[in-house]
Amino acid sequence: MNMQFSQAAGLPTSSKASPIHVSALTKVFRTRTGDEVMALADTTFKIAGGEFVSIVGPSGCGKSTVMRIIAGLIDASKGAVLLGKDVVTAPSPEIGIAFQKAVLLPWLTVARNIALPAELEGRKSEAEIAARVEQLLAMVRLTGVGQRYPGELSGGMQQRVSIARALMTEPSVLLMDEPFGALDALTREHMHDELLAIWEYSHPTVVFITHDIAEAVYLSDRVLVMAARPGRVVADIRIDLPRPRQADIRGEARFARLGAEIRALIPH
Amino acid sequence: MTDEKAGGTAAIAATLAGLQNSRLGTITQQVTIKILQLLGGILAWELLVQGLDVDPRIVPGPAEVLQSLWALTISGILIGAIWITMQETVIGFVIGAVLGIGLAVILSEVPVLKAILQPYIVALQAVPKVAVAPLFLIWFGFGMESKIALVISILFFPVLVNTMAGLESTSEEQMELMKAYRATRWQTLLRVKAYVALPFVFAAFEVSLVLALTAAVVAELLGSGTLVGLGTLIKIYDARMNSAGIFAVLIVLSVLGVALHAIVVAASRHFLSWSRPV
Ligand SMILES: Nc1ncnc2c1ncn2[C@@H]1O[C@H](COP(=O)(O)OP(=O)(O)OP(=O)(O)O)[C@@H](O)[C@H]1O
Ligand SMILES: [Mg+2]
Repeated sequence: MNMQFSQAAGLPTSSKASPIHVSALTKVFRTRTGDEVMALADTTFKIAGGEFVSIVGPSGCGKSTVMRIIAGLIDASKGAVLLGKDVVTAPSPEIGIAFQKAVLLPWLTVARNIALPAELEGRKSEAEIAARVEQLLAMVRLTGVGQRYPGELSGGMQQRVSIARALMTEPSVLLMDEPFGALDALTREHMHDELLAIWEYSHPTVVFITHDIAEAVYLSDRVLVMAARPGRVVADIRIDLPRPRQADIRGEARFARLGAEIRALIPH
Repeated sequence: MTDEKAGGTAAIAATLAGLQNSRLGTITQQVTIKILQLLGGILAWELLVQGLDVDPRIVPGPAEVLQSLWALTISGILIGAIWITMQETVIGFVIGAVLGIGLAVILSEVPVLKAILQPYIVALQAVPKVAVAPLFLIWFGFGMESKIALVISILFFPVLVNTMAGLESTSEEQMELMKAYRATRWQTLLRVKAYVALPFVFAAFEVSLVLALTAAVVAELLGSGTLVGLGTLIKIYDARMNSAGIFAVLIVLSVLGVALHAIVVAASRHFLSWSRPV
């Protein structure tokens, strides 16, 4: 079958999801004191449609900045991002995004927070939205929490709510900025498998930012390594582990080898 | 059947007993304390007036004031006056709040307009509103309109300024979230800014509702026609040198002020329940 063929060839599975082409991206921030910070310098990389790519790198190397430019939230100083065939100038309806902080609206219940993207879009019926919210709550292991308020949840629970919200509209491009940072190890591994199940099911294009190298190896088709001052991509590692990924792969020698290879590439 | 009934009655009795021990008990205790405080105050007042041998036409004793209050109540004058003054306060409050919030929304959504109007707002805000009251009498006459106008003018600026500050206190992350999900301006206003501004709006209400009552009374003191509100009553008693009557009205005003404040606090608790840390 098609899927087996592409797996055998070590290629990303073909998908209807848009590819992302980051082209010669430069971003200069001006701080309040008037200094210029070069957050990104001439960064170029491509992500195929339906590919799962992680970005790792030291704190402050521009990972969140790249993501926010791809999302159309901020402009680049130079260069451009192509989403599919279109130059990104504003947020696209294809995208689901989970920010580094949970950013939940404290006056809405958990269920309404998750439903927010669909409510803003205004295409799904109330019943459809409610059903999807239940499904997502179960997925992030928060069944029964829907009527509580964000202020009543732990940090890890809030983060899972924000992940559910990112998935609400069944986006074909998923941008996630350290989404599992606040989770305990067990919940984190559960979330890995849930995320991979979603990815196996609908093959969205995923850009996944993390500080956890093992997590990046376990999830991704490719891992991009970034360096700071100025922010740029310094390595592009293909993860040719078989899919669907199984938890026991974490114990294998090639898994450890890939992790070590990436760790050696991260500047510190 | 009877057994079940008996069981039910026993359960209710047990519940009641439990209530008495816990909640009802503390309520009774609190009420007792309040009553003792009140009686203590009245006693101290009486002792002071008698001990210092104050002329009752200057500072009346509690007995005279209560008598006066009683006479006002049974004659129906008090209820009528409360009705007039509360109308002025509440109508002025509602109009002032609507205008203040409305203009705040418009100005925060149209920065150009805000830049143009800002100096005027600052200048008008600095004018002592009570000093404008005579003008309101000239413009709107001696009826209720001039009182309402003063209430509006007192309330408008605190509400406007607070609401504007509230609308602008959204976090960058919240705005980025709304942008990422392509919220329209209207959606952002109703779903984020309105909620972020709400605590600021209620803070303004809390301060200005008692001010509104003061404004209504002051406006009545400055001039009123046939309608007799609480301020007008004070003026009438003043002309008759009836300080017991004035004291009686002051007590009523203080109770009204406390009640209005309690209503705003209760409303703000209700509408801001999400913002309280649990
Ligand atoms: N709005 C801003 N104004 C000024 N400088 C900024 C701004 N946003 C980011 N920067 C700077 O750009 C650089 C990259 O920031 P970015 O948030 O992309 O880092 P990051 O790789 O996501 O780091 P972390 O892993 O800590 O989240 C940093 O030096 C940061 O100080
Ligand atoms: Mg970051």
